[in-house]
Amino acid sequence: MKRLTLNQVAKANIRMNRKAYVSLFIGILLAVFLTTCTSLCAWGTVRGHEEQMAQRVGWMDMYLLGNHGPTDEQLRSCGFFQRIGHVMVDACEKETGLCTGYYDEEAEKLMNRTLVEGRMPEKAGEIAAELSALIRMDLDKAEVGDVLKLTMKPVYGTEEEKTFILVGILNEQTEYLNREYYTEEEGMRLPSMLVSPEEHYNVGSLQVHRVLTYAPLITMNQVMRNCPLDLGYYIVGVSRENGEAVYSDSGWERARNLVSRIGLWVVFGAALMLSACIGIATAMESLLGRKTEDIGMLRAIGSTRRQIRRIYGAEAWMLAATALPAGVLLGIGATRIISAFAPDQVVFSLNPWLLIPIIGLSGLCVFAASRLPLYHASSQMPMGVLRDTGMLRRAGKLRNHSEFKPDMLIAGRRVRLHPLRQAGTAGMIALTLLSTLLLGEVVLGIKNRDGESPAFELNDIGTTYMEDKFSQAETGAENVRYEIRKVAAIDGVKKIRCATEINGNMLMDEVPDYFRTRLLRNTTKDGYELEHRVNALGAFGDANDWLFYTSEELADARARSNVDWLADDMVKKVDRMELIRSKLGITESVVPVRIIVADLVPEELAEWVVDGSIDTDKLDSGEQVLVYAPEICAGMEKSGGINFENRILPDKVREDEWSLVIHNDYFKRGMPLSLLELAGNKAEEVPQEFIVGEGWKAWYQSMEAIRSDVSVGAVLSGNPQISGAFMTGVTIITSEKGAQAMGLVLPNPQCVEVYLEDRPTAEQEEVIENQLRQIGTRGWLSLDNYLRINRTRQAKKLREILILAGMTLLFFAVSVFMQVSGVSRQIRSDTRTIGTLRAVGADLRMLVGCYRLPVWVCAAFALVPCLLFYAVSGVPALRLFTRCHPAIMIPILAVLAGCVALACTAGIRGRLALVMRRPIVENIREL
Amino acid sequence: MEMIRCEELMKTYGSGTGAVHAVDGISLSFEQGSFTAVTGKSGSGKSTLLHLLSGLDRPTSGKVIYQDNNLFQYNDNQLSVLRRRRFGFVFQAYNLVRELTAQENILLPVMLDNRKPDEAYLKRLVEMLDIDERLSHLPGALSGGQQQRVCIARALANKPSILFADEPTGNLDGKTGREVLTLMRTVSSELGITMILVTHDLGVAEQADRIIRLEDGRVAEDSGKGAI
Repeated sequence: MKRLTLNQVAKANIRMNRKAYVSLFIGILLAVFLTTCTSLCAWGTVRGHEEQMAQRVGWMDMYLLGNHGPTDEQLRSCGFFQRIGHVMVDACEKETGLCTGYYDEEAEKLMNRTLVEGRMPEKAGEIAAELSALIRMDLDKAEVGDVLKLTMKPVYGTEEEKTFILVGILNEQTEYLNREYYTEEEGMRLPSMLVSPEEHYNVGSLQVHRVLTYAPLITMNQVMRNCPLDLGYYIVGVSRENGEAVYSDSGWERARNLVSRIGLWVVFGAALMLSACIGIATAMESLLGRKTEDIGMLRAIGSTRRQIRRIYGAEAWMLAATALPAGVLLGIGATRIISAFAPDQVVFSLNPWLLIPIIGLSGLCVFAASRLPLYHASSQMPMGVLRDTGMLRRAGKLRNHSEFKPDMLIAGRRVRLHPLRQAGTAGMIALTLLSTLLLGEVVLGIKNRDGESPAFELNDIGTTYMEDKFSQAETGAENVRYEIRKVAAIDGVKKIRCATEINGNMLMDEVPDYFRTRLLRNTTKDGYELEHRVNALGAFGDANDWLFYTSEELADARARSNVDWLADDMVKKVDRMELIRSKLGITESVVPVRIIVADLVPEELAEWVVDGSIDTDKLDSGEQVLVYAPEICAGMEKSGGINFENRILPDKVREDEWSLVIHNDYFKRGMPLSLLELAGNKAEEVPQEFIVGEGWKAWYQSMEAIRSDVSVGAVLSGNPQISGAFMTGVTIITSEKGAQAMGLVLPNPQCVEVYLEDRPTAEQEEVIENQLRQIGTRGWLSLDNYLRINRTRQAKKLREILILAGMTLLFFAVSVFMQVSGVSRQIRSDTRTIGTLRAVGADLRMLVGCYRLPVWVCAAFALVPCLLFYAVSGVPALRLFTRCHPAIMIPILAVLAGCVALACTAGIRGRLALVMRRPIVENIREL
Repeated sequence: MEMIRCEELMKTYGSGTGAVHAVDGISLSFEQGSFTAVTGKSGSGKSTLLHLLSGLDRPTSGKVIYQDNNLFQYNDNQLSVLRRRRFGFVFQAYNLVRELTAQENILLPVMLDNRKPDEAYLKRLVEMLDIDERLSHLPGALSGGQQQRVCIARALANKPSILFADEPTGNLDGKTGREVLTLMRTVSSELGITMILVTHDLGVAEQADRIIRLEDGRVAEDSGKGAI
C-alpha cells in the first residue's frame, strides 16, 4: 500500500474544494502581481532617472582634471576605481576660453556624448560643438556644414587661426560638469567642442583629464576620506542623482535620494501588498473556518499542531507556486503598459536579478499572511474546535438580557464573541481612509500662488569674484548687465526684477555684541567633541572672532596660524582689514556685510518689518536702507550636529526650544550706518597667494572705495523673500535707485526674475525661452523656466493625486468586497440561524440589523487609527503635511467610513434578500 | 371550533416523471385546543405537511386557512408577524441562536414583536420546563434535553394559538422524551393551545387526542373527526 504523505493530503484538499480555493489563489496571484509590478516600476523609475541624468553627465562617477596626480596604474590598483577613460584637451578658444578636445575609447563610453544634429568629427578640420558654446562665441546662427574660423590657443602653445567645418551639434554637457577653478593653467576644463584626434597645432601640448567610475559600493566621500592616493586639487565628483558635478556625495544621500525617487512606488506597493496580504489572510481564515471539523477530526486522530500547519500551509504554498509564473507575467505586462504611458518616468527594463526580491517578497506575503490563520487553526484542542469552546469561554462575562432588541443584541454578541472576524476588513477600511487622508491633504495642500510669480529666472553662474569678504570684482563677463537690459525688451515680457549681491562693509567704532561668535559644543555618538560657531553676521558660516580680538588674542592666533586653519583665516582677515584701514586712513573696524540691491516691493516685505517702516522715496534717494537682522536660533541634535533657524520672527522665538538664541539688540530704526564698498574691475588681478602680502596691498590700493552714510529705515527679521536672494545673516537691503544714489558699483546680478504680460502659448513660451537662453548664455547666466517647472510639478502632483485616487478607489472597492463577501460567507454558514429567526417571526429589516452592526463597528474601528495618524501627523516636529485641514478632512473621513458601511449594508441586504427568497424550511434544513 | 384547516394541499418536488409528491392533496381540519399527532414512515410527508401548515414552506397547490384567511395570500412580512404572534414551532434539531443565552432565545419571539414579556408567565414556564437554573447559558453549554426545553419555552413564550412540533423528542432518550412531551401537553392544555406534532414514534403518538397516519403524501388513517 502506498504511503500517504502530507502533500498528498493537501493536494486532495485542493481538488475537493476547488471553488473555496479560488479566492485564496486570487489573493496570492494579486500579491505576486503587485510585487512584480511595483518592483519593476520602482526599478524602471531608477533606471529612467539614471538614463536621463546620464544624458547630462555621462556614466562616470568622478573626473580628475590635468596631467597631475596619480598614474592610471595607481588609480587602478588602489581599489577605489574601476574604469578609467581619458579626455584630451588640445586648445581653447581665445575669447571665451572654451576648450576643444577628444576622447579615448573608454572615455567615449563614460562621457555618453550624444548628438543633437550631424555627426562626430572624423578627421582634422572637423568640429562638433555644444549649442551654448556656439552662442558664447557669437556663432549661434551657425549650422551643420558651416565653416567656422576660430582663434585657438593650444595648450602650452601659441595662438593659431583655425578653420573648422561644423559637422555636429553636441548635447549640452559641460554646463553640468564644469566647475570654475582659480587656476591659470590652460585647458583645465572639459571640452565643450570635440575635434578629431588628428587635429594638429604647430606648437602645443595636451591636457589629459581622466574620467573614472568607482569600484562597487564605493562613494565619493569614501574616496575623499580613505583613498591613499594624493588626488590633488582638481578632482570633481559627478552625481547622477542630480545630474551635475558635486564636491561631496555620500552613500546616505544617495540612499535618501533613491528612497525619495522610488518612495511613492514603495508606499504604493506596500499598501497594495498589505491589502493582498489581508486578502490572503481573510481567505485563509475563511477556508480554515470551513474546515474546523476536519481540523478537529485530524487533531482527534492524533495530528500534531505542526502537521496541521504543514497540511494547510502546504496548500497555500502549492497555490503560490501556481500563481507565481502567472503573477510575474501579469506584472511584467502591467509594467510595460505603465512604461508606455509614462516613458520618461518609468523605463521598461527587465533585470533577471529582480526575480529574487520578487519571489522573496511574494513568498514573504504568503508566509506572513497565512501564518496567523494557520496558528489560530492549529492551536485549538480537538473538542474545542468541534464545540467552539473559545466562544463559550469568551461568553463567560455576558450579561443576560430580559428585554432587548433582537437584531442589536445578536449583532453585538457577534462582535463581542468573534472580535477578530472583522479585523481584516477593518484594516482594509483603515487603508481606504488613510489613502483618502493622504489624497485630501495632497489636494488641499496645493497652494494657489498669491500675486505675481516669475515665469523665468536667470541666475549668475560665477561671473563675480567674491571670495574675499571685503571686496568683489568681475571675472570678465562685463556684458551681463547689457544683456539683461535686452530681456526687458523681449516681446511679452512685462517686467524684470534683479537682485544683486555686493560684498560690502560697515565702518564701526565699536563692534556690537550681536555680531559676536558664540560657541556651541556637542558630543557625537562616536564620542567626538564638536565645536560649532554661530553668529548673526555670517549666520552659519564665517566665524567673526577676529572682530573682537585683543592684541594678545591676535598674537596667539598668529602664532597658531601655521597649524590652525581657523586661526590662519582670522589672522588673514585682521591683516586685510589693516590694509583697508591704511588705504582709507581710518581707525574704525571694517566689518564685512552683504548688501542686497533689488527691485523691492514694500507690500511683500511688510509682514517681516519688526521696527520702523519702508519708505520707498527715502530708499531710492539713498537716504535710508533696510537692515535684515535675524534672530539666530541653534539647537543641538542627538546625532551631534546642530540645527539652525533664522526664519522665526522675534515674538515667535521660544527660548526653551533652542540651546542658543542670538537676539538683535543692536539694529534699530533711524540709527546711522556708515557703509563702504571696495570694487575692483578684473578678477584676474586678485592676488592668488594665500597670505596677505604686497599683492593684497596693491589690490586694495587699486580698488575703488565708495563710502556712504545712511540711516536705517526699517529692521526686518524672519523670512523675507527678495527676488531670489537667500537671506542668512545680517544683510543691508536697498533698491537699485538707492544703490545708484549712494554711488555703489554694482557687480553682475545674482538673480533676474522675468515676469510675463500674459500666460503665453506653447509657441510664445518657446520663443521667449530661446531668446532668454541666448541672452543668458552670452551673459553667463543659467536659465530656469518656472512655467515648465510648475508644469512638471503640477504634472507630478496630478500623478500623485491620480495614484492616490486610484489607490483610494481600489481600497474602497476591496473593502466593500471583503466586507460583503465576508458577511456573505457568514450568512451562508448562518443559514440555519436565519431560518430559525424567520421561523420565529424575524423579517428582512431585523435580519439586516443582525449583520449591520459589525459593519459599522468595523468602519468606526478603522476610523480610529486613521484619526490617530492624523493627530500624530499634525505634530510640528513631524510635519507630514504642509498644512493640515482637520475641519475638512475629519468630516470627509467620517462620511467615507459611513459610505463604506452603507455600501456594505446594501450588499448585505441584497444577499439576505436572496436567502429569504427561499422557503424557511430550506434555510433550516441547509439544503 | 376549527383553528386551522388545509384544503387539497399539495407539495411536489421536481417535475415530469421524476416528480415526487411529498404531500398529495391532503385536506384536514384541526380543532382549537386539540392535540394531534401526525405519524408515518420516513418520507411519508409528515414534516412537509407540518411546514406547509405552519407557513414555513409554500405548497405547490392548495390552501391553508387560518382564521378564514389563506396563509399563502399573506406577504412575507405579514407571515412573519403571524408566526411570531400566533404560531410556535419546536424543531427536532432545537435551532437555537447560538449567540444568545437560553433566556434570550426564549424571549426572542416576544422581543421581535416589540412587546413587554409576561414575566410571571415566563417564570412559570421555565420552572415547569426545569431550565430556570440554565437561563444565562449559551446553547453550546446546554445538553440536548435542555436545548429542546429551551426550544419549547421559546415556542410557547408568545402564548401561541398553535404549537407545531417536528419530532420534538427525536434526539432525546426515552425518559427525557416522555418528560418533554408531558410538559408540552400540560402547558398546551393549560393555555388551550392547539398542538400538531409530527412523530414516527407510536408511543408518543398514542398520547395525542387524534392520530393521523400518512402514507406517500396522503392520509392513510385518521383517528379523529377532523378529516374533511
